Amino acid sequence: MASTTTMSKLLNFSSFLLQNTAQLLRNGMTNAIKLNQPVRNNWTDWRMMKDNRRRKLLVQYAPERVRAKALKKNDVLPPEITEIGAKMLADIPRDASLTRVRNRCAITSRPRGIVTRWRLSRIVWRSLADYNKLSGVQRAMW
Amino acid sequence: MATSIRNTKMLLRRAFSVKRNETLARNLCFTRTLNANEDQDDSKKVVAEKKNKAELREAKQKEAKAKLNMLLESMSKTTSKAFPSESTLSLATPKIRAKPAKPVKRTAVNTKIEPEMLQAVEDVSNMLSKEKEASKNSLIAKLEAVADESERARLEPFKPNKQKTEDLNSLLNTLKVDGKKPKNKPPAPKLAPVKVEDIYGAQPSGIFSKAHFKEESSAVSGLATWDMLYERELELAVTHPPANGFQQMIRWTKQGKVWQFPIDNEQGLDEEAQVGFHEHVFLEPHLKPWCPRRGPVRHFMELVVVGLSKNPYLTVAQKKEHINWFRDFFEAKRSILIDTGAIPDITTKSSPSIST
Repeated sequence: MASTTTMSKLLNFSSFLLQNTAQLLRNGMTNAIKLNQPVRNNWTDWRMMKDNRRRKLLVQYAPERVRAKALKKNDVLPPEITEIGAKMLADIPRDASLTRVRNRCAITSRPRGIVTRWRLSRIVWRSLADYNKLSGVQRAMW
Repeated sequence: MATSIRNTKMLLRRAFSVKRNETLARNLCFTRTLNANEDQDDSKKVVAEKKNKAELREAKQKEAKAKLNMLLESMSKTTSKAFPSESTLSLATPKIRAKPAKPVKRTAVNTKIEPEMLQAVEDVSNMLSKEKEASKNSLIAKLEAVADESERARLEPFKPNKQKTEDLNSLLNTLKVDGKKPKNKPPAPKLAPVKVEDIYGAQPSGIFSKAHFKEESSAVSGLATWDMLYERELELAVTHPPANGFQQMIRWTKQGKVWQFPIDNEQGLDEEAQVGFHEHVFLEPHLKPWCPRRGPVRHFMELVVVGLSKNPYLTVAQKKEHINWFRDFFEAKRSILIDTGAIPDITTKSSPSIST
């Protein structure tokens, strides 16, 4: 079974790479990802994992949600249909809601201070920018 | 038991008291003699002293002995008083059960030789010779001798017998193998090559015509994780996942997943680019077959269509699917719509009017 463990480790590593290439290609931030610790998953923390789960559910239930919302939030259709729409909306899991998704830093999972375009926290962003890893980003001077 | 202890204590006390008395007496007689010696002559005094001492000692000893004897007698008396030989209590007695009859022991039990050996000896003697008893006895004697020797050898430490070792060495020397290489084995007998002219010419032998091949029992193994890992291992054996980020990027570039520069927002959406805008905007024909021309349902669906026409993010297929979903939903809730009056009830109307 040693082969499976090595294989699983390899797969783990490769999947980790797949998910976090953006981070890995940045040489300045290797100390943020600890590669020598045993891991259950390859997320920085569980909050990041849960956020990812919510995003997936959001994508999955998006059409259902739009339709149910349309049926609920209108005064054109009879109230019986509107009630049915409300019930459909309530049946959808809560994690499929857009409001539950939080834009976190892709490396450190920081919930606040995110630079949206790069999906990084300001601290990480700044360190990468200083090492010249962000294209077109330069220290402001005027 | 308690009384005896008490008696011994008393004895000891009395002995001590005797001793004390003795010492007292000694002191007494000494002082007496001292006082006496002042008056009498020296020689007389010495003899008198000695006599007195001896007499006193004897008397004291006798007294002590008498007392001891008395004590011992009293002890025996007290013990004789004590308890009756048999208890007066009525205790529960166990039931006397007849013991199972023991198997009759064989007279000829030999401890040196194992019973199996004995049985073998008996069989052999019965089979071979006529004088069964004599042969049996001789065999048993020999076996016993061997057993004795082995016992002795076991107990004594091993001393190498020089004579025996010499014999053994000479024997081994004679048996030494010569320095020649071993001969090759004679070649295995070769079968004559089978001449096959036509493989499919012969009639089928029909060996397996009546065979009932059982299907492999596909019992559900409760090792889900192991099965998953096994499948994963198989996949990994066939595929070669990238070992590093560079390999991954190369792979993606080849697959066309990587952005091309200058960035084109519609990269990868070639099929969608071929679809004309009229299909995105003019969606009313999709409503035509099923949607009623008047009523709240129509109103709602018109709003939906307007929204979709303004949506650049969905494909035409997705928009169609959206409309079809609503169609199916209203079909399912038809009864409710009729009850509420949203849909005109067709069945009740007898003649169609021009206005609708």
